[in-house]
Amino acid sequence: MVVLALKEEIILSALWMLGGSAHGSHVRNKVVELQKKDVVYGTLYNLMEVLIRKGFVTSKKDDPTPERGGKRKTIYTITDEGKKALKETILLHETIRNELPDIELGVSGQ
Amino acid sequence: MNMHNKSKPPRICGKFLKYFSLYNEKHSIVEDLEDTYREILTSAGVFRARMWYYKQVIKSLLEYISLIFSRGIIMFNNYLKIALRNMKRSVGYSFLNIVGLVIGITVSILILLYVQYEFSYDRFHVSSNSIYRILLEWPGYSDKEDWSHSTWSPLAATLKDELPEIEYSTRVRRYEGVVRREINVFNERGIYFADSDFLKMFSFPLVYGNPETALEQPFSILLTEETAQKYFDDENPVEQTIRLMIGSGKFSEYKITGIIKNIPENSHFNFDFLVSFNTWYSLAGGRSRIEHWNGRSPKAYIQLRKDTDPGEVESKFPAFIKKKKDDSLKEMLHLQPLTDIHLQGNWWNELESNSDIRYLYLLISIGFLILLVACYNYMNLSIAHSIRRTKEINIRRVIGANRKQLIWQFLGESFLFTIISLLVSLVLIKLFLPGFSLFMDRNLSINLLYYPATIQYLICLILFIGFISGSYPAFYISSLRLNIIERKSHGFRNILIVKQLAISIVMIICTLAINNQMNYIQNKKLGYDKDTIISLYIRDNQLKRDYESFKEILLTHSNIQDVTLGFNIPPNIKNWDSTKKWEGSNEQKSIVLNYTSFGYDFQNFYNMKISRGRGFSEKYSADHRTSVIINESAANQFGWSDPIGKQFNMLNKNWNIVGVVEDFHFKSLHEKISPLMITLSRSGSTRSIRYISVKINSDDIPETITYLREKWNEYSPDFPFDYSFLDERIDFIYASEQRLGNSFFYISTISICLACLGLFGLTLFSVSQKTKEIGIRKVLGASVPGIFAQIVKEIFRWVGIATIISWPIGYIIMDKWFQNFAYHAGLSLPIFLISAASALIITLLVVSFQAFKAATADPVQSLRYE
Repeated sequence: MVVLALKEEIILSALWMLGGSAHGSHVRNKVVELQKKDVVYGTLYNLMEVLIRKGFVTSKKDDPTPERGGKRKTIYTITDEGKKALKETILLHETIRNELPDIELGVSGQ
Repeated sequence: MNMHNKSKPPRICGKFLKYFSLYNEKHSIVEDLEDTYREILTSAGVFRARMWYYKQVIKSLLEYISLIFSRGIIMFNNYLKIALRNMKRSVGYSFLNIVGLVIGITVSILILLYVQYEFSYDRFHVSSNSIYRILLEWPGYSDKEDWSHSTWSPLAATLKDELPEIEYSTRVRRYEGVVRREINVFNERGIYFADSDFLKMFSFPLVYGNPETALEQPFSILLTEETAQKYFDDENPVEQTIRLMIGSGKFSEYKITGIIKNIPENSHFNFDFLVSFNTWYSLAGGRSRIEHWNGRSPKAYIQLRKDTDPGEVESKFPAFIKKKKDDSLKEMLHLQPLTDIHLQGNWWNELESNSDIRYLYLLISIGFLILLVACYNYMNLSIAHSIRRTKEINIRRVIGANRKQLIWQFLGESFLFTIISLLVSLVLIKLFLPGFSLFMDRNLSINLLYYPATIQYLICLILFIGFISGSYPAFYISSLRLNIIERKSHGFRNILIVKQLAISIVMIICTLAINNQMNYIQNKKLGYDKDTIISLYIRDNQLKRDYESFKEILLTHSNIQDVTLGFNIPPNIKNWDSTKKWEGSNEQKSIVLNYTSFGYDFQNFYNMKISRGRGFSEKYSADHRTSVIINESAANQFGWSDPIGKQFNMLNKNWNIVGVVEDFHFKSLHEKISPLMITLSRSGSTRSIRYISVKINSDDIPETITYLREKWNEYSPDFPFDYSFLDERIDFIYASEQRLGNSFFYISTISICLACLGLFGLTLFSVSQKTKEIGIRKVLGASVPGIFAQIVKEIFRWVGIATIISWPIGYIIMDKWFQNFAYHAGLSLPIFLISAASALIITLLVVSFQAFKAATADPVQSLRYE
């Protein structure tokens, strides 16, 4: 069973929530939304490198569009292994949650 | 900012980001940041957006650095693993390399510790940077080493009065004396007299007593903790009294005004007692007998006010002297920094025996040299070894390793070796340090390694060694094209071997020459007999008056051959003065003469030769008034063709020369013999007698000494029997010279071992190259002796070339070194021949052994791994 680190999990989740493929900036925005905390791009890229090395994500350069003056942005796509890893990690959370006796998981304050 | 740029993030940052190559190529950091910037711009305004942007850039930079770092560590680990594996595969090579590096590092660090310690002398005083000693430059003696540190008595205080830049001043004078308290009576040599500013200037904390007032009153004395323990046991010495007799005279009572904490070893002061200087006024019979400008004795130390320029103060000296003394002698005053004293001390005249800074510089350079040789060995060995590994390297390149990776691999190996060697060295240093400290006669401890500065040195050391040693092979090997490695190796290998041989030969030459010199010095005739002479230091005036009968009694003993007296014994002749007046002089030049007194027939006693004129004799009554004997050096200085009968003026008296004695050494053997004048010591004269010397047979010495002690106690019961062997005394004085010689010898030996180690390793690996070649030859029909002859011929060629290179180099180096000595053994032909011969023998042994194995081996075997 493959288990992801929490940060990796968050990023993969964000990516999946965005439909499996997204620009770097969109992923970051999503993560900020989830975490309710600012995220530095450097951290994001570092984690992306790890995920790419592990084979959970692929990256490619987008087609240039005139509105950005011809610059190409990177697009990250989650792979099948990535999806599998994410599923298994979430399953692990479920198992823990179910077998952990009597924890009240209310919505915590900011 | 104009409206046009409002929607774009700060420009500079954008350019800056391009440097994050990874972020920029694989991930589009610039664009992503821009997009988000715009969003924040619209929602929160320019200010917020810009703040966010800066934060993102800075933090991303940090993240980037940690990414590279962690990647680097992973790579480093990988190379480390490979390097370790390689090391295990070629154990012999690794071992040789590590041994070489370990020797180099250990020796260098030991030398560093010693040198550091020597430089640390006197730095523990809080004001050490502002304290100076006054030196007197004598006209005609511009060499700093000849300047005197004995100054006129009123100098220190007068300088302080007249020059506002001087905050404190003190005189310091060392004396010997007898100290008595109840039943404890000892001869003490460490009695210092100092003015009351002494304790304010120098940081000698008092365990008891007030440093402001402790030295104010005459007959005040302070003891060190150790000394207090010695005389008072566990009693409290505070406010008690102790009796001292200084020089010869009577005992006086001194009041103990303080106890000083034990003095650290790295101080050029080393006293057991500190007495107020104004005590002298009473002891000498009046203040005016001390406070005059006609004679010199105490040392003067001054402390300048903060931020004063010593040069400025020195420039005021000439005017000062002109006022105080008639400047016919034109002495000049100089300032010597406190921290220089130990290093530059002309140790013949010092309060304690000191180091010589030239020696220290020499040590540093030798330490550095050894380190360099070790690195050089590593480089050579590494190259030779990597030639062996050409196959492995070629394969790597075929697989796709680029040059950068190869370089990293070699550097990694080099660092690994260095770190392992460093660790082993540290262990060895810990082992050897006690012995080394003993040998150098200094208190060295490994704690010195914990000073931050030294840690930095160590780290720099590792990096330096690692990089230097690893760089050449790394860059060289990795740059060669694939097949060239094979072909170039031949000529290259030869060059390496010749270089190594040349170094070894130079080392051997230096060692032999140094050894020669040290032997020469140690065996050099002093010019007088020193064997089995016992010197007795006399303070008792009564004994001086009874000398004749004392001598008679002593001579009745069968073991006692002769007795004489004098102001000095030859090795401690120190006093000197100068004169401008002698027969035929134009009173422009001045001559400096040491002076002393000896008894009748001193030349027979010491086996010195009177070359012209006569010795002192009772027949001539003038002998005890105006007659003087000078040595050859003095005669040369004066310049007369026949000095006998000539006169000169010295110490305000006119002297008549009755004899010339052949030069004998009374100072360092390295220096030329100084001019000397000898006057007569007569029985009863309290001022000119300090020593009685007794020449004895070497049979049953303890018995003779017992007899001496008996007789002493009869004649001088109040005074402790204090004797020393003349040769021991001489050895002690020359001890540091001995040490110098010994340490040079050891160091040179180590250098030779290192050089030979390198040679050994090199030939070892180059011969293994040869096995292939030999194999081929065999197949082609060469015979074993034929192959052998070939190899031997090649060896001769190597050694020949190396010799041609190394002999001139060795000659030049040693010649320069010999300049340090007034008397030197010189470089003789045997030294050169032996050096070349030894190199030849070593190479022959190593190579022929290997070659023999190869020559008799089955060619099939040697060619199998082609």
